[in-house]
Amino acid sequence: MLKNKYIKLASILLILCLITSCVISGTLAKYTTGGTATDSARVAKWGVNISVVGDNAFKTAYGTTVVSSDTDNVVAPGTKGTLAAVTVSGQPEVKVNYAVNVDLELTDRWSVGAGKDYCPIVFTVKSGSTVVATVYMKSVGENQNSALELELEKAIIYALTGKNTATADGTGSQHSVERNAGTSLSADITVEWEWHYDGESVGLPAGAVNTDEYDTYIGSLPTAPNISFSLEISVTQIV
Amino acid sequence: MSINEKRENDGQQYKREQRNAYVRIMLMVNIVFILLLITLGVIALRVNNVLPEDQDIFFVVGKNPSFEIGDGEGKQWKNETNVNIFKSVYKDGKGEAVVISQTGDKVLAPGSTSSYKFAMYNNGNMAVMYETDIDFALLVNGKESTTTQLPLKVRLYTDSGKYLIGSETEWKNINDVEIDSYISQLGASSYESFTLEVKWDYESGNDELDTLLGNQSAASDGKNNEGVSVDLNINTYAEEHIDPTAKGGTVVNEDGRDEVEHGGTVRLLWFILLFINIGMLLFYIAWLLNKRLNKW
Repeated sequence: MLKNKYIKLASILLILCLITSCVISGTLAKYTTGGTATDSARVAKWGVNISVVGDNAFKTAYGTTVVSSDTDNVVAPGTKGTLAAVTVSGQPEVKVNYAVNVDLELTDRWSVGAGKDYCPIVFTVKSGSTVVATVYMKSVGENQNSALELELEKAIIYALTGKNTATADGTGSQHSVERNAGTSLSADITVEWEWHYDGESVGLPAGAVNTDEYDTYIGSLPTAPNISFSLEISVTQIV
Repeated sequence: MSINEKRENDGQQYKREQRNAYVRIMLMVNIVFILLLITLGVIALRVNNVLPEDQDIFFVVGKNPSFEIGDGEGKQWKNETNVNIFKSVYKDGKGEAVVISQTGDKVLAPGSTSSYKFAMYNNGNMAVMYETDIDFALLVNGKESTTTQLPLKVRLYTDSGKYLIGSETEWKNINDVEIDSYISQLGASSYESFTLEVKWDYESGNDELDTLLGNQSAASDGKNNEGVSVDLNINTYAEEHIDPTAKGGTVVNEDGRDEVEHGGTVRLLWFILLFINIGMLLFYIAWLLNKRLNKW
């Protein structure tokens, strides 16, 4: 009996040995590994703010020397004002295109003869209190209005960015400049206008067209000519 | 007791002693054989690691697992390895920077694109199964958000042209990505490459949203207001294939030589011999114990 018991015990031990070996060998033999890659990013900064204020560019009265007979704003020799006060801020992390669009409307009544555009108004672009550019009509002739607009745009862009727009050879845009990513766009400028009282007085830019004869001519017209001004500044990301 | 009876007793005694001696010898042989098998197994494992690839050992071939994940920059993935999927500077086709992070951290912007390559390498002598998945988290001021829209698109594909996310003509928005785990297998000395592409369309069709996101980021103060950011994780898990000879992926060396012997049959024979000897050992021990108890 005892002999059988030990044979049975040996058999059970053998079976247990076989089972345990299979299980352990399977467990120990199993190879596992892994890995994780991680990364993160935030949205690049924009934060560009542009403010253009020009509600009081023209007035109905300039002291007591020039007073409108109705409610219309007027301009006359010896008057002046501020067309626009521009404030730009921001330092975007992307490359941008800085564009300026000036719309200077001079109705055809500003003509002093066939094909003779006349604008005695001198425009001054200032950065803070520093005069950056003075823009004026340099001759009386056709399509001088468009040339005056372009000159104003270039002057305003230069005052805002310190950059000249494309040259006359046609490369690049004459209405905008590119700014590199990370460049501060902060700027504070004003665009002022003045119709000098005396065309031959000291201080008028050399070559500016301003004569008493032309002033009297347009002031005597049965329908007075009009002037309107609008300024649009845009900053757009480019790639 | 007569002489014959005495002789018979002596004969039986002699036979018992011979049997005992035989059992003891067999016991010793068993122990030696087991030790020999174990020693051979250890030697086989050690030798297999240093033999040239085109040679094999005839008695046992050991397992030599080696699985790793690496990227195009040579970085190996471990536990939450920081990799360069995104960038701090993006350049245009002329090499000019069009997006530059002011703080040096990685950024995203309209027009930015990234391409990240990584690969699974099985350098071992047995096949493996592996599982890969990707998860994104969109964060607003440091907290996960499921409602914020970010016009970021992704696609993921293998070098064999299989797309896990998106397709050749379609990119998936990050908010819409749903990927079940991608499970595949790699044969011995094989690899599989992946490419993850991420982009923010310059013309996303929603300039207002793009500007809003950029302004949020500009207003961030690094403390409570951190703007919008993205966290991306690629997770991979691998384990030994049930069939060490399974195929998959691109084989590293295809020089026409014979396949490496994985030793499956030989290894099985080794285990059978070991089990038989252990069983016999246990039997002899039990038999001897039984004899001793009978004597008492």
